[in-house]
This record gives sequence, C-alpha cells and structure tokens, in this order.
Amino acid sequence: MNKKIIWVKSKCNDYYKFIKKLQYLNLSIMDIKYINKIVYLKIEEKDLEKLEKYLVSYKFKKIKDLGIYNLIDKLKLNKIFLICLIFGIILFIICSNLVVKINIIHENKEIREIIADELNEYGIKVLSLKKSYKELDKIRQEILDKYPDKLDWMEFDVDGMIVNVRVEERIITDTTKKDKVCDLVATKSGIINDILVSEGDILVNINDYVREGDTLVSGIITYNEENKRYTCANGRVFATVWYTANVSIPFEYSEYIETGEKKYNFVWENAGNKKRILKDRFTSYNSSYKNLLSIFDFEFYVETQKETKKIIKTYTEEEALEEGIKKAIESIEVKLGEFDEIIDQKVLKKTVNDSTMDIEVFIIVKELISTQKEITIENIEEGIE
Amino acid sequence: MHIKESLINFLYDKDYFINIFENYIHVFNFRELKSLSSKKIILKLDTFTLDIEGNDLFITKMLPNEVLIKGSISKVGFIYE
Repeated sequence: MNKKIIWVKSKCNDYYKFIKKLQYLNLSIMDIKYINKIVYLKIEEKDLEKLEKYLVSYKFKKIKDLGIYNLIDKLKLNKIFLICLIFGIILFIICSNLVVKINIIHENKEIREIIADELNEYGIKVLSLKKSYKELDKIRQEILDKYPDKLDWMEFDVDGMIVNVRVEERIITDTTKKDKVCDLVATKSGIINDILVSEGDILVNINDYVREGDTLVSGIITYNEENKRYTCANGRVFATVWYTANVSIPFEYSEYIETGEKKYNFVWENAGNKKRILKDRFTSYNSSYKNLLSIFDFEFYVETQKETKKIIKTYTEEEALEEGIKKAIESIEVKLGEFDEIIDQKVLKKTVNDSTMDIEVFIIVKELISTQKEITIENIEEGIE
Repeated sequence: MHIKESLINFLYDKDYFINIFENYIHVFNFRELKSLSSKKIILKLDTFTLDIEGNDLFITKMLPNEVLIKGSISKVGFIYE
C-alpha cells in the first residue's frame, strides 16, 4: 500500500524537549530538520492526527505532500492550465494532421476528375485526416493499377496541410494505325459540296449525289486497274444536306426584369458548394458575389440579390415568325459539327392559331458527311477476286 | 532447533546493530531514548545502555525501533547494568 508521506512544521523553542515528547508517541519520523526555531518533520499523513492530539502545545501545519500525492496536488492546482494545454496539444495534432486542400496537378480535366473521385473513395478529402506515407503509397499503386491505360505515373506530395497530387497521363501511341486500311464513306445522303483529301483515291466529284454508306474516298490506290497500295483514306468531304424543322411558337411569352429592389446575404463556399447564411427574401432574383475572405478551400462572399419580376409580353405575327425561324435554326445547329454551316432556310408552311403559330422550316446545310471505315485485308482480297 | 531459531530471528528481528559513520550513528532495535541533549544522548537497548557523547547531536530520523543521530561524535560507550 502506498503511504502518504507529508512534511509538517511547527514552532519549537526547545528541540530536545520536543524530540523527547515525540518518542513516546511511537511514530515513524523519516526526517527531522530544525531551522530557525521551527522543526520540520517528514511523517505519514495518518500520524499528523496523533501529533495534533498528543502534542497540543505545538501547532502543526502541513506544508507539502510528497511522492505521487504531491504530483496529484500540483496537477489539481494547475488543472485549468493542464486542460488547456492538453486540449491545445490535441487541437494542434488534429490540425497538423488535417488536409485542408488537395491540389491535383494536371492540365487534363478528365484526369483530374478521375483522381479526385478515386481520392474521395480512399478517404482523402478536404477536412479529413492525413494518411501515412505507407498508406499513400499503397493508394497510389492501387490507382495506377486501376487505370493502366490512362495514368503513367503519380505521386503524393504532402506539404503541411496541403496534399499535392502530381499525375502523368499515359499517352498510348497506336502503332498499328499506320497499318490500318480504311475508306471514307458517307454518313448521310446529299450533294457533294467540297472535297478536301490528304490520302486515298477520290471516287466522287462535286455536285454528285451520294447516298448514306457510299464510299467517297477509297483506301485502295489503284493504277492501271491494279491494286498498287493500301492506305487509310483521310480527308473531309462536305455535302449539301436538307433538314425540315417544325416549330410551334406561342404569341405570349414571359420575360424577367429587375425591379430595382436589392438585398444582401452572406454565402460561404467549400469545394464548389455555396451555402447561404441568411434566408432568401425574394422569390426570384439575380445574384452577384463579392469575395470577402478566402482561406484554403473556403470562400466567404457577400451576395447582392436584385429582385426580378415576371412580365408577360405578346409577339406580333412577324416577330413570332422570326422567333420561330430562330428556334428552328437553333434546333438544327445543335446537331451540327464544328465544320458544318447553315447555307439557307425557307419557311415551307405557316399556320396561325389563336394563341400559337406553327411553322415548317426547310434548312439547307453544308455538312461534313465523310467518316473513316476500316476494311480488313480479307475483305480487300475477296473484293479483288 | 537451529532452523527454528533462524526463522524466529528472521521473522522477529530482535538483534540490535549499531553503525557508526563519520558524522552519523545509526542504532537499530533500541528500546528507549533515556536522555537527549546536544552533547549527550543515552539510548536503552535490551541488555545494555548506549551512551553517545559529542557536539551538536541531532536526531534526523526516528522510527519506533531505530534512530539516526547526526553530529560530531566523540565517544560511544556501552554500559551494562
């Protein structure tokens, strides 16, 4: 059992007289000091009662605990400081092990998204705890193994609370591409408008009508009716293609205008997600943001909300027709590629109803209709035979 | 008999011993402190009385059966009654 040892002191004019009295109490006194008429005794705490009971002429005062009790007393005395210190250390450890920003360093958005998704799956996200070097290395290897055709190399660089992920994309060069034999075929029916070919034998002329699937440029180069060389036909063949679009335009339409009323709100943003702090007071409004604070991935904005009002307007017949043609063109433009263009349009039919106008628009488009179609050697040889 | 005595001696440590150092004297198994002053301390043991003389004699440790005395010790005497 651990005895509680203490130091007590008492005023004492005659040390020898005091010791004589003390011996009859049969106490265990581990140390005795006598300095400036004050006697100091190192005793067990339970013996203090005995001292006070039998030596009534002396006034004993406990001055300090020893051993573990002294330590406990000191801890009790400084408990607020110690709690703050422990809390501070814990907070420091948590903060220094927290990830506040993840930088995926690569110019390709697709690669960045793949890596971000994978990191999220492995629990590496903002405000999560940092992983050890061993774990990061394992994750790195697993991601590289998962995308062998997309990722060539990857590394984690932990810089304080920021994790930088450096990635190299794997670019696979198709070595077989040159050996490929292909034709350019028509994807749509139309009249040939323009031919731009860098490789292959052109089989059509401008103003020829071609049907979908017709071969426009052949990959088999012939000379004197003999197959001399195989290649992959390359180029662009444009044709005039026709579209018909049916559009129905209501005479009445709505528009939002700003009323001039303005309210402010506070917004914080983390990882692209905006959250408003105050409740919205307008049902419909336009927003503009001003950045107030930016800490790592956290942004704090003041939002200016301008109230908008819905207004019903009415088209005249000419305006409705114009709007209808515009919508018809827009509906066709969605289907067109970057090299295609609308040459002309014409309204074929116009029906005016009570509240709507139905129109049928004929649209002429100059469109890229050629696409590469691979042909196998067997097919070629069969064709020769 | 020898074993019994050894066992009793081990369990009930009745033997006294006196260690004398340069400025200390340690007495184990004393019975009573008969006299105490800065120049003379008399301790009673089972079979004799220990008479310690010196200057600035001072008790630094006192347990029920042992005592440690500090001071410049000039004479230690055994008085058999």
